[in-house]
Amino acid sequence: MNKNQQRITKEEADKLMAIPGNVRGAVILANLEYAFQRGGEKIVEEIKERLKELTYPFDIEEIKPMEKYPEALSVLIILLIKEIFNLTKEEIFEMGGASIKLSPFIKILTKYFVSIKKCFEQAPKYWEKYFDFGKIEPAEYNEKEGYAILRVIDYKFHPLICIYHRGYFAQIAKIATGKKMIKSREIKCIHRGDPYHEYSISWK
Amino acid sequence: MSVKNIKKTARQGFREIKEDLEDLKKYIQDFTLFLPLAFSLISPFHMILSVNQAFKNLTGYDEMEVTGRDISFLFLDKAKLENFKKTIAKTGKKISQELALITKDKNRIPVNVIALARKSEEGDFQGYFLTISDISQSKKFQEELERQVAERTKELQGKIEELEKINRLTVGRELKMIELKEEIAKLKNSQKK
Repeated sequence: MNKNQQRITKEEADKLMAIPGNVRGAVILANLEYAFQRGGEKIVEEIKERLKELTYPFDIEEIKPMEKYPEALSVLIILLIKEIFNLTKEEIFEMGGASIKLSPFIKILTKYFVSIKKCFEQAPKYWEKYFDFGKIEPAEYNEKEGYAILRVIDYKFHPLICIYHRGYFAQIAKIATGKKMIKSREIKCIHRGDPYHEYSISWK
Repeated sequence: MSVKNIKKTARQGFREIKEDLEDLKKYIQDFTLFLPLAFSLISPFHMILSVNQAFKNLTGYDEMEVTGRDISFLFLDKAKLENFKKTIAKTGKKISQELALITKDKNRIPVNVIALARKSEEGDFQGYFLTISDISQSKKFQEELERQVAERTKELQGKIEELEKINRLTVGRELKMIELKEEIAKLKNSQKK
């Protein structure tokens, strides 16, 4: 590990793990698959080891896609992947996109990828399928100008997840529009004092 | 039935559905892993959504490298491919097309591509399943067969020419003999006189 790299402390992990809310195992599995594809079996072992060190041991190999697990655990795993690979912000963005690529549910959720409009309209339903807290709200959709604005409400775990979500939304937009030029920006953020996260996704 | 019991039954039913879904997912995973045919799921915008192991083996690309990319980068014959894409989106039927696949190692493999459209209950086009079969062996076999046929045809043509030559010679000789016989007959007749 890089000497300059900051490791997640027990205090940070405790603070994170105290936040309520659950997510489907499919999300965690997609991130673990990303880690596995980048670093192989030893990375999965390293994540397990670090979870143990942080006093949150978890048998991540037993995670089931349909079961619900704490979102805090999912976020902690993302932070550990970042720590282990010393990921840059761009790579965290990429991991967000990869979670769509590697999600086992992408195969059955293709009905949402028929058009970006449908994707946008169905986003709240999609969120409810994965999370048992917070919500996603379609705020603005402009087909002519090629952009959409989405709000993520009542979701506050870690600022790095905002970058991860940008990558996630960008990948969805890429698949649902068929366009190569996709931009995703966070225009409001709960970590900067806004009441919710707001993402602008544009395509051309 | 009490509310408590209703809740208990509902929870049990939900758990069973979840278990069934997990089993179904495992079945699909095992099946696609076993399937020796390169298989992929394509979005309505012709983006690759998922691929199986045989696809990875054939193309050399892994899931991360291809998911979210337009299928066009995999094939030569762009005009044929564009036509193929239009047809599958328009007809919504099973279609096939011979194309040249470009692997990650830049190898060119002749393939047969089959697509089957997926539609929603409302009839909206939801993308398609795509299979890619390596036909290089059958192509080689076909080429070899064509070469052998061409060779045999050439041999046969030679033989025909030879036969024609013999025929011409034989017929010529026959004609000459008839001519000679007639001459002999004429001579005999003149001697008698």
